[in-house]
Amino acid sequence: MRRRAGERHVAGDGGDRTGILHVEELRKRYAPDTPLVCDGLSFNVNQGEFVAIIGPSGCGKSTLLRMIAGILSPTSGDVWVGGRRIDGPPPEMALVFQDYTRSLYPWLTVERNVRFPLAKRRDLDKAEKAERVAEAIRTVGLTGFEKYSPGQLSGGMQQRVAIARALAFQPQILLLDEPFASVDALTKEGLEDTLLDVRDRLGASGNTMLMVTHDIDEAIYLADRIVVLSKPPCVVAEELSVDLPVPRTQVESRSHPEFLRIRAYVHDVMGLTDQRRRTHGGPQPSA
Amino acid sequence: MSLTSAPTEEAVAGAPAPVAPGRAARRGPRLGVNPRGFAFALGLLVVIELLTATLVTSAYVPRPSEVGSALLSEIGEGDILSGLGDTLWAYLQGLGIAAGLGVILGAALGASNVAYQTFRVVIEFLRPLPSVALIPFSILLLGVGSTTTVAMIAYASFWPILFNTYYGVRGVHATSVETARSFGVGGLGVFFRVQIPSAATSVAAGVRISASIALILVITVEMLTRSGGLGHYIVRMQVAIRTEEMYAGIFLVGLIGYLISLVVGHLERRVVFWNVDSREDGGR
Repeated sequence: MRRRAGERHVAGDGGDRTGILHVEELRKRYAPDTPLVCDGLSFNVNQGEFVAIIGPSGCGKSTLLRMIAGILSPTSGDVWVGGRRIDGPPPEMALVFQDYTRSLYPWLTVERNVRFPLAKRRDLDKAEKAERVAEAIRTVGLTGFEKYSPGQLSGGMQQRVAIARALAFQPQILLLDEPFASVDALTKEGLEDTLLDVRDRLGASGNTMLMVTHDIDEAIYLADRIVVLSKPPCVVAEELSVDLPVPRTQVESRSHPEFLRIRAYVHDVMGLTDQRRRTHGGPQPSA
Repeated sequence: MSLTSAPTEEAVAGAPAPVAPGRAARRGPRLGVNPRGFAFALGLLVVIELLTATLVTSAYVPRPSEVGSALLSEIGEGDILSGLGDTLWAYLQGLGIAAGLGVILGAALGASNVAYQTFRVVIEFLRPLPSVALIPFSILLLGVGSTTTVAMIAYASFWPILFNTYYGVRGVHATSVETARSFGVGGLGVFFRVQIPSAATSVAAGVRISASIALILVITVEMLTRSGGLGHYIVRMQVAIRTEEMYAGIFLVGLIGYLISLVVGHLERRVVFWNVDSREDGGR
């Protein structure tokens, strides 16, 4: 079995379903006689934590996130949210997709896109919905653009709309699937900082975030903890804490010695995971 | 989402192109008012007028000015106008029935694989059958008259709308569907709130194609069945060797076609407004 690496790191909290999100032994095979995409993934996300999952491209990151979001069934294994095993998209989570051009609906205005997940909710009255929508749009800094069509906005603004939509849903956990991979570098920095601001503002009940990315720097800058996945079929290769001081800022955080240390370390892990384990001690993960 | 069978040419042409995120400005002629184009058309008329006045002297090629005056006098007598009314009414009914049935059935086929597999063989057999081949059958069944005309228009215009709706519903991007599902929207909700609106651009393209097919059909059936309308008018004038009036009828048909394409294009820009950018880029 190839699960050695995964087992080692999960041993500490295996079976611990008290965290807000617990992923247990997830395996995915898209069709019989095809190789496994994920081979026994396990990890935990605690309340209020920002966890980044990184891994080489094609390693099954997006598959993993879709299973966690409940829109893809695992071949085996479970996802627990708030102590409950999920069997479909749970109301505690909202997912922001990389491809905002497909994820936003071009026939709806910005406002109606943000309202989309609330539109058919019977437990909220009209005023509550309007308030949530306005608040979410304000949070991402798009007040004034409510009546625009997504197609009239820049890529970065469109992704802000997608984030606002997820926030209007008021999830306990925000899932992000390579959310900034399709925007330019400067826009990306702005969006990263917006995400950190959003997190500060959300408070303890809704500031748990799980992001999938292939951008190591982004993961370090944003996350409290990083889960590194192996090459496919993916298992957890490494888990490490990011002990960067807060509040984080683009220039200072990215030149902090800790940032550079983790950066080098993750590169190492991703490049030569198995060799590194045998031949090279390296800094120990602190998770 | 994969399209296993070879899509029709119409469907490919009509498939929603990727929407370019708002870079193209809303430019371009809005209602096709095109001074240069009209000037050229007018110039062409003048050239034909000069040619028919000098070189071409056949009795069967009247001068545009003669056709124009024939058109005006026929309009005054009301004969050509009642033909126009019949033609337009049959056209609208036929296209309306085709659009209604095509969208409903296309959406149903798109929603259900079982339905698609069930109907596929029959559809693939009927679709390439030229609709005019069914006219004798339709006359026997429905008699000569507007019923046959409407039925033939509806039949011929049905297919592009059916297929474009089907491929539109099927071709919805996985992310669009997953987004709704991740927010807990169920199957029916995804169908009506995501798949149907996504398919709208493709449906609109189908309607645009059918709008011209329906005009071809209405004139053809009227000519063949001699059941009134502009098509019949043109044949009657031909038989009577009233060439000026015949050309006046033909001109009117051309004018209808031109106006229809203007109206359809305008409606399309209004209803599926988010597709404007891609259409300008695609240069259809």
